[in-house]
Amino acid sequence: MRFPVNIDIAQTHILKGFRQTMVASLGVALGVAIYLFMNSLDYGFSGFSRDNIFQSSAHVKIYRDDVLSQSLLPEETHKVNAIINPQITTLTKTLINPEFLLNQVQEEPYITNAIAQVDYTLFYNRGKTQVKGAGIGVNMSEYNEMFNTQKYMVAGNVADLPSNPNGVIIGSGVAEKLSLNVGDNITISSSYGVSKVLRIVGIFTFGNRKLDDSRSYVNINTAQQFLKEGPTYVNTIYANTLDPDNTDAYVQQLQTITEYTVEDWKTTNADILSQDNTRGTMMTSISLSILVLAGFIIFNILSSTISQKIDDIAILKATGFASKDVIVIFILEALIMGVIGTTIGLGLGTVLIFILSNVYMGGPVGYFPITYEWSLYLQSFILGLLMTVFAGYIPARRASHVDPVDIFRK
Amino acid sequence: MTPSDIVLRTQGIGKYFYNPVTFKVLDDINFHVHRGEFLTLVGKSGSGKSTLLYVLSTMDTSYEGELEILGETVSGKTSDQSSSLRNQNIGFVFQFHYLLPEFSCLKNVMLPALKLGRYSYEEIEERAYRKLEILGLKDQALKQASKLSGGQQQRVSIARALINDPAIIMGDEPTGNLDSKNAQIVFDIFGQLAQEYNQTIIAVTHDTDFAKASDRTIELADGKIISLDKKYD
Repeated sequence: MRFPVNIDIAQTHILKGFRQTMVASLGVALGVAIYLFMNSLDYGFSGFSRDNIFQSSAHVKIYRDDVLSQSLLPEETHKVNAIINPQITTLTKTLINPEFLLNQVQEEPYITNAIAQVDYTLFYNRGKTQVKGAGIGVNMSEYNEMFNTQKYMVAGNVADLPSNPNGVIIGSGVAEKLSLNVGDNITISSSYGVSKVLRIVGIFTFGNRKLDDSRSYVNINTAQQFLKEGPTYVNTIYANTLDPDNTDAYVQQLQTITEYTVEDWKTTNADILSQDNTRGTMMTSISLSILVLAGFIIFNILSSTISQKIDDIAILKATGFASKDVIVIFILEALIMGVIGTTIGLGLGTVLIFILSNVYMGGPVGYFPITYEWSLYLQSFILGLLMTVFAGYIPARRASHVDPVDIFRK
Repeated sequence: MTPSDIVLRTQGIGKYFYNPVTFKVLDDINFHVHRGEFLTLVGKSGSGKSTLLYVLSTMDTSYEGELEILGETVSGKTSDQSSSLRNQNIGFVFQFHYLLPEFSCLKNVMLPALKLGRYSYEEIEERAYRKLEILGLKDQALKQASKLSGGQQQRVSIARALINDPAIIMGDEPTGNLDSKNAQIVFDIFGQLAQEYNQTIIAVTHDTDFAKASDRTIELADGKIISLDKKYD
């Protein structure tokens, strides 16, 4: 093969110093493998925890927030001090003209789907046993499209709810406590004193004890009846967007079409997100430190190579090679080691990911949530190369400063 | 002699060493060298002859005065500019530092030409073979450089010095490390290069036989030229 002369020289150095090349490459390989593995770990787990969030909360929700009573006197008047007792003045949680608002939200270009929902508080009764719970009234087929509830059904089918006006889907926890099954009847009473006997058409398990022990789904008009409200009563609109990471902008835009509170999932789940961020930062700093260590190996090996080859460098410079040629030669060597090491590292990382993805964690997690994410492969590859080039640049620069006269006169 | 025949000229070259104390190692060096001349620099140890050679070689750039090679002023050029000038116009033969040990002899000879890039890879290979042939080493061409004897390595390094057909070939004690048989071979080659190929040779030596074989000998003492054409009896 005919390469430019600098590549030719670098190639010869690499081939003749095979053992050193391999040690350096393996150093990089380990660093890159661990970097890829740890970041895939974090990525997989973050994805899992986000899926968990989206199984019950939409990207954006619109609801009427509680309003506190205002002082009767304007704030500026200081002559009289009115002592008041601020109280919640919200008489109803309903959104006014929800149909219109829902249509408006759905017409926004960044909204993928939006649904109306009625929340209410209830008790599940069987004999003398009473279990407190939270009821949700929705159009189940739209709701399923949004949250993929069918995935969590352990008995029955979500499609049976819309076709059965007296149907209810309950959580596995409630079903167990009250020893109920699909097809059984259950008495549900709301906090407004409305009591109904409903037929169980399905049972779900989210793997989240709090939800499984309390939540149930009914048709939206059943929920409205529980609240003694008419068919226009809706207290929350949920909407999914094109990009859940960009909800801040969407919230601002939605706020221009409605005066109700618009809240995105990040606000609702701030606690989980801050945990995710903490874990992500930890993983990134550990894996980056390991990568830096790998860079140090390259640095070390190239430094000793250059000390050994100082006579050769002097000869190259005497015969007309410029300083930048010397830099190019040694950076190329670092780059070759980097490419070999990074490639091995990605393979090694893939093996680690494969092993962990077959470890069963049990519970709702199942197999460890780790995935082969190509963007992380790309990131590891680029970082691995950048690191080796940087680690190679320092000794290469030193080599380029070798003064041949000093060497020849020794 | 016409001025265009002058390949190298120095004007008031002086140089100091600063460590451990300031010391003037070269003082007001003025001479010129003609094309095809076989010149030797002699002098006692510490007379500044090697220092002068490295100034002439363009590798050492910290000196005062002016150096002109092939009519071009070299003083004040950047190190990359003088690298490229060396690459084209100056060939080197050293006393101890011969070849890149990891490369074949052929590759060692080819490297300066590959750097220059005047010919294609195949042509350079062909030319390198011819240079090795002149030096009687064609059969060793593909051997790794470190596997050759000292005399053979020195001859390969002469072939390398010749590869770009430089105007000037410089040697720092080119026979200093060789036995008399190999030293004789090197003399003969240098003489031949000057005579047949009209190349200029400038070599530092303390070998009297070598100096006698040259066209002209400049003698230095304490950093000054004491004779521009030393005669041996």
